[in-house]
Amino acid sequence: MAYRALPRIDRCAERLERIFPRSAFDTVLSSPGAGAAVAAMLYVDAVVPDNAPVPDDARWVRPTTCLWLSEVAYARTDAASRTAYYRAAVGARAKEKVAALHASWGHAHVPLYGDNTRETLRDETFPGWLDNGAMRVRPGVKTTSPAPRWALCESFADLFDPRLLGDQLVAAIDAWRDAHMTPGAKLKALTAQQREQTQHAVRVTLPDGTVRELEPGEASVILKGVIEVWAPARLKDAVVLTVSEPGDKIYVADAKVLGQLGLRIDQATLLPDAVLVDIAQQPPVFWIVEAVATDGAVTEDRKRALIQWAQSQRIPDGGCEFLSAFASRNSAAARRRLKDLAAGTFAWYADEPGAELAWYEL
Amino acid sequence: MTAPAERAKLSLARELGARGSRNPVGEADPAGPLPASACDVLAVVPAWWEAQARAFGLSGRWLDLEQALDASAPEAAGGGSRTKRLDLVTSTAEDLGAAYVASLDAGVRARHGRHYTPPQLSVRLWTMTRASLGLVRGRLGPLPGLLRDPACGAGALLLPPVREHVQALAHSDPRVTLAGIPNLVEGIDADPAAVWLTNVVLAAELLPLVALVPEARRRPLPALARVGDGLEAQERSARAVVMNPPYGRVRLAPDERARFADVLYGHANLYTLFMGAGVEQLDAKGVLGALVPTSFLAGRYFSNLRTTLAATAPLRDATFVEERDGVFAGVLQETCLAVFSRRKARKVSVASMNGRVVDVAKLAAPRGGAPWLLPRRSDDAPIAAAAAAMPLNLGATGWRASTGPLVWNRRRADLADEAGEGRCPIIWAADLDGGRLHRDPSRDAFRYITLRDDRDAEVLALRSPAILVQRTTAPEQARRVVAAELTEDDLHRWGGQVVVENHVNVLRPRDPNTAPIVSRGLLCAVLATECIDRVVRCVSGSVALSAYELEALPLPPPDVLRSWEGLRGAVLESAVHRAYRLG
Repeated sequence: MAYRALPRIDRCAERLERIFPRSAFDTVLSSPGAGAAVAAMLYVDAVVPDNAPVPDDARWVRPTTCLWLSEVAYARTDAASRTAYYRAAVGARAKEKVAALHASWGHAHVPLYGDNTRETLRDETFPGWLDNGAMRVRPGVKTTSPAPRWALCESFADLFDPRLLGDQLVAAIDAWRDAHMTPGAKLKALTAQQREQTQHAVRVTLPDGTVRELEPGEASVILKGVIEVWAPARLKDAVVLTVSEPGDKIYVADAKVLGQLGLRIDQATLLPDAVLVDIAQQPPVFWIVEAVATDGAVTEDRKRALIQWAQSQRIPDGGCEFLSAFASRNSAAARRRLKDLAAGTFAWYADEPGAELAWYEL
Repeated sequence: MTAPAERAKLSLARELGARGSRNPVGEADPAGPLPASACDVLAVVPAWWEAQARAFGLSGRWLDLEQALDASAPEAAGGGSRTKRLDLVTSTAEDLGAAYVASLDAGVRARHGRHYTPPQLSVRLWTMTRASLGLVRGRLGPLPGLLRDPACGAGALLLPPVREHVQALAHSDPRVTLAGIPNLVEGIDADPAAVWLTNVVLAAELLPLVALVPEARRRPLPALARVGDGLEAQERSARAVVMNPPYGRVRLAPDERARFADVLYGHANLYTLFMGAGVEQLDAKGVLGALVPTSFLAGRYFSNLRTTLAATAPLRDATFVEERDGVFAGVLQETCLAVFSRRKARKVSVASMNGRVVDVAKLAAPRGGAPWLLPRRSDDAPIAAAAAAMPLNLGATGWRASTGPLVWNRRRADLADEAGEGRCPIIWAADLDGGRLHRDPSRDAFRYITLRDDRDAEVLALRSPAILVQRTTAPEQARRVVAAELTEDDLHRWGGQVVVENHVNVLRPRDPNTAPIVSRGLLCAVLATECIDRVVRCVSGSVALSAYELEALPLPPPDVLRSWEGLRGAVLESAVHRAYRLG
């Protein structure tokens, strides 16, 4: 594989500041840490096409892939070292492997940044670049996943070519800004991103026949089971009121349905993963569902919080039932949380859809 | 409630003058008689309330709005049909308010600036305001102090904060929360029906708390909004003021003019007064969040407002609302959500909103009364930041901008299609299209004007070379700055003198005996660069470019300007670009 020429790490931050001047943009877009992140992505070649479909062998990074880069590694510009660093830094037990790799080079691993600086990259720098068309995220990876999911856009990476200097650099930066920072360009990037997402999305059919696309992820698969399998079997006449997804999207039933039920679902404070209502019962029974992929089952604490939330959304007290939904009785989350399920709640396992676990107080 | 006589006086003082010069002057009473359609909306409110209360499992007197709420319905509510708008019974509070405003007469809406705030804007304004108040993103927080809307209309801007407050206090004693809320939320409006609606929808937000209080200890819900003049000095200072104030020119009584002297310059716009009064009402940590036209960012009449704001409550956060026609029916101005805070801020965050919110830039907070440069798009951000730091402006280089003196429709009788005795050719904006002075055939029917006498000629005729700049451009035009040079040769060709129509700005040397720092030819060429066009887009989001805004155009230092002398075309373009770029 042909790797790109590497600029000096400190030059990356300098160049970032020319692209995102601090007098005009948030400093997190051009901080030394951001510069190191660019350097790391160039080092491991986490660079993908701007708009074209991403090839299967494209490389993606985690924030830590960037933080754990060392001066020692960066000085080893040969393809073998760079590939070795990439392999070590994105897999399981990455930090140990990166340290072992450095040991095999005869050096201690001295990362450029500590692990505790990754939040800035993850929550501010990368999203800022993403917004400005400098980055792409790997489609089909859920937001909460620890899998590597970030890469630089090709055109952006090109701006860091160390041979690009003087007027040429100025012209390249201007051209890049013109092409990526206008509202139209942003909209284009956003649409492309959404299109990719839907290719990997989990499609769920609601009781009324409409189809929703949920963000990829195990929680979405569990929710799909709850809505398509559990609800028709358990409820007489099910209506899905809300489904929150791992990303920032929320499905909320239309205002008319909510109005008829006297509800007011505030999206900003939505707590449960899904709310279903059985309107065949009088009064209607509200089912508050938590889809547990990693954590978040209905424990006593959670139940109390959900009841309070339900009251604030005008869901009547006492008209609520609670369901924790898991992928399997064997899943780590299910095994860990069995002992914590709140009294008077139910559990359902997607791989045994014909059964439901009830936890009564005697 | 204000006494009727006093109110009559207030409303006379605020009699709305015409916007532009052709509109009729508004009626004296801002709360004139309601149309039947509005009465029908008000008449359905008790049924709406009943549905809301029932949803909480409340019963008995709590289903009766008159008993549940400490505010009585306006007379108009009794006059409407209780069945015509049954569709609203299950609607949201926002839809109810929007339905009321939509039912008002279009003329009243326009003249009194009564526009309902769409939910996405009220939510966004609250998100921005709460951030400046120091409330943590993503975590519910109770109101940190009094929140006031001095022009609350049907309460749209108060709904998101009240909702958050109630939910943040879900764990507290509901009776304490209910007792405290009148100290934290206050709405004021001149329209009694709108005030009543605000009281109803805000009270409905409190119903979940009522349901938690034991029956015997429940008290009627407080009225949080009152009829009044939002511009009056208020006894209680506020931690936050949010507003979507009415717009439009007003004529002021001398005492009021004196009271608002700090923020006024020339014509008074109602929203200037509201912003000035809003800042005045803030406490030491106060925050003002306003949904306003962007004209205050650059217009001359707002220069004192800008100076006062920059000194007392600097801009912290601005979100430009794109898609103008979708926001308020009938309002054509570019609008923005602007948040100011008493606490000093070094940076201002700029975003744009068009369905979704996109961060645009983070720049130094604008200072002083000169137009505030804020980019609408990220790619303009570096240019805006560079321009804001420039030492000179066009006015300071020795050029003076004025508006063309001919208002053609006032001189219709004097216009003619051919030359003749005592006639002088007119230069129209269309004659500058393409950046080159020419005779646009579409104006041939009104090419000449008869000058009545010497005085008339003195006022209208231009006899010296100048630079002509279009004052407004069409949105579909690629450029916002369209300038053309009027040289000695041109003047000669046009007969030695011309009359410039008032959609054209005229740039002339300020002092006829001193040469400006930039020559006419160079200035004209600089104005034609793409870079300057982008600077202008950061000054004014609209298609208009006033003489004042033109004079305020930021320029680099004199030595840089002089180094451009003799450059033209691509070479000049890149030289200008270098001066306006950072990094």
